[in-house]
Amino acid sequence: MKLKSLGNLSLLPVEKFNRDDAEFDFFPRPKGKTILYPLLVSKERSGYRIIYGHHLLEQFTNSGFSMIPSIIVKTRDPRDTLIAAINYHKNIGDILPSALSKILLFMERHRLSRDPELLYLLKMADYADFCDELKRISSFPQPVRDYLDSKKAPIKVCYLTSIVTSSTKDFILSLIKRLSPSLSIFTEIIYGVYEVSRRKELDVASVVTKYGLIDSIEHGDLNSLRKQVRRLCFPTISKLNDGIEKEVKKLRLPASVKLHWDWTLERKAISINIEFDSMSCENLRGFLSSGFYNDLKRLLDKM
Amino acid sequence: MSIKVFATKDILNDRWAIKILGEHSLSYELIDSEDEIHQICPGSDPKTSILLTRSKGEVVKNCPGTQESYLCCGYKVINQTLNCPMECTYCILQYYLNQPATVVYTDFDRIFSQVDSLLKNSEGKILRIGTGELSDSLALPGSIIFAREAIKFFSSKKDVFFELKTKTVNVNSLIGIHHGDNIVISWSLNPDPVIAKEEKKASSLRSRIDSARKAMEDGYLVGFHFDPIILHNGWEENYREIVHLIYENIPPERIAWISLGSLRFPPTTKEKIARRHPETRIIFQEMIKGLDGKLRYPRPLRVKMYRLIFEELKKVDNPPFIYFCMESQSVWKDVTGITPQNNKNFEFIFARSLFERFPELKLTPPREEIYLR
Repeated sequence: MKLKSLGNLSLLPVEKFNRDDAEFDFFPRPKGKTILYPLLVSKERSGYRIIYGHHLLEQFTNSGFSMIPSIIVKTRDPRDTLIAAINYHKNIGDILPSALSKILLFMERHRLSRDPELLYLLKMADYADFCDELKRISSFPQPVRDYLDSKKAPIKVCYLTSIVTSSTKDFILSLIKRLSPSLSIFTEIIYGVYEVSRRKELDVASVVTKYGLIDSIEHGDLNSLRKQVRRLCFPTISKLNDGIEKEVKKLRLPASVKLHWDWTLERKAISINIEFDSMSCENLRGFLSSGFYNDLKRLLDKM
Repeated sequence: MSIKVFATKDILNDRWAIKILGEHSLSYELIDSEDEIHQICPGSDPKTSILLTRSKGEVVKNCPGTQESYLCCGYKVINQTLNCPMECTYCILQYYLNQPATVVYTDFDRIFSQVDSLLKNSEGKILRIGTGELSDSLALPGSIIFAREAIKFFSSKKDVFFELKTKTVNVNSLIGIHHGDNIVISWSLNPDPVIAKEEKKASSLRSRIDSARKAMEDGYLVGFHFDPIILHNGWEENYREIVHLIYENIPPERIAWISLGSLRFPPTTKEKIARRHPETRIIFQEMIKGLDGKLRYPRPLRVKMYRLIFEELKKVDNPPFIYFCMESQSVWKDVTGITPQNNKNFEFIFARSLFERFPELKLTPPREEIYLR
């Protein structure tokens, strides 16, 4: 819905808003943004219902406004109203995981869980099966919700986080609070933990306890946690990678020579990065003419 | 589970549609067009209904294969039936096709004219073409009737092998019909413990091999596909036994080809498989995202599995042509010692093997430059 089609802008007295009605309070105040937008409201018998902009009302009143810029829309039912709210928000920002969770709960209350248009609007058309897990996010501890929102976590990550958090809040909370992982490392860890739990037919909490994953968090070592999870999730290739790493160490390569390979080992190849400058060239002279080729060949055979 | 049959009005005068409906006494509901099926059973399980209709667009295509990072053999497919009544846990057809019904095209003449065009455009090449890509070739009445007509159609064609690929034992209606030496009936094979868990509605291993023998005794060439190879307890012994079972029943010279391919599927289908088949564990095995984005076993594991089966298959004199489906050059090299240089070279090597192994078919000698075009 385009802004201009929403209706005329009105200035409405602040006391006419029903502040206690949080039915459509899905979207929190965007962090770091101070831009004020008109509220989206619908007319009720004795005042106005806020469809979008609970946080905006607060900002307007804090700034001393007594007349609030608002767009009055006529909607027929909760579905219609929800569509207006989502479309209005989409002009302003992304739908973050905690908002998505609240919206899905709203849809459930109004028997709209399988509504294709709503799912499409929420970019959930391919993830309709994930709704139950995503709905739980709004009841998770604040740091978990904040983390997912701040990283704009994709639906699949939210889904996995929900499964893991439902089984063990402590693990997720410690991971986020103590190690502040990037989204990609966070995803790798929770995906790994989830995979192992399914493979071993254990719940996630049991995996975390059984394999001492919480200890790595306690030691504040994100890298070791990541490696531990990788070893559990990919035992064959972890072992092979360990072997290759050991061989590489044995080669005692000059600092200006770096070897890289695809950790999944799907590509049987090693790439070599050689920094050849006036400082390193003398050191490299002997090295490059030695049995480097044979060393690499041996490494390749190990892959 | 009762299956509903729908037919679009335009097929009522098609002789093949009448044959399919009549021969199998299928009661059906008439609808105006294919699109109507989306309104009648929106989002429903395509295995619960069959839609008989005329095809639109191209039905005869190149096998979709996968990205260039893995080698593909240049197979051609006839998508006469879309979807399959079986319930193999790993099958991506369950999630890949977006029709709420299994679609069976009844305008065979149109399909055969597309094949004729393909053959005309492929002069000088030896083609392999089959119906088992988007369905089982022999699982549904409409597919079997097409198979019989296709056998007759292809039998008189030169430089083409027509393949029916199945996990069923439905070969009886193909026995005794006049056919050429270029018709291949092939079976996907897995050990019984895998069949019991992952291929629930498919026939047992023994009965698939028995059917293959029956087909072979009727003069058909047969083919086998170890695909998907699935890691499980005792896989080494189980796959070895399959190879023994094959050679105990079928002489290698009657086997057109054998393919090997390991379990693989797009990541997006993983959760869908888990929900549809909560009992399956195969999707939670050690898998990495391959170079084509699909999940598959790590390469070293795949090589180990392939090597065992390949070496066992090679133990006979004059073994059949063995190839990998969607595998990388390094896997080819590590298992067989050689590798096609690219897809075109793969197609050429395949054709050369068929030319050398089946002189009675008087195939056109493959020339590499034609395949490189």
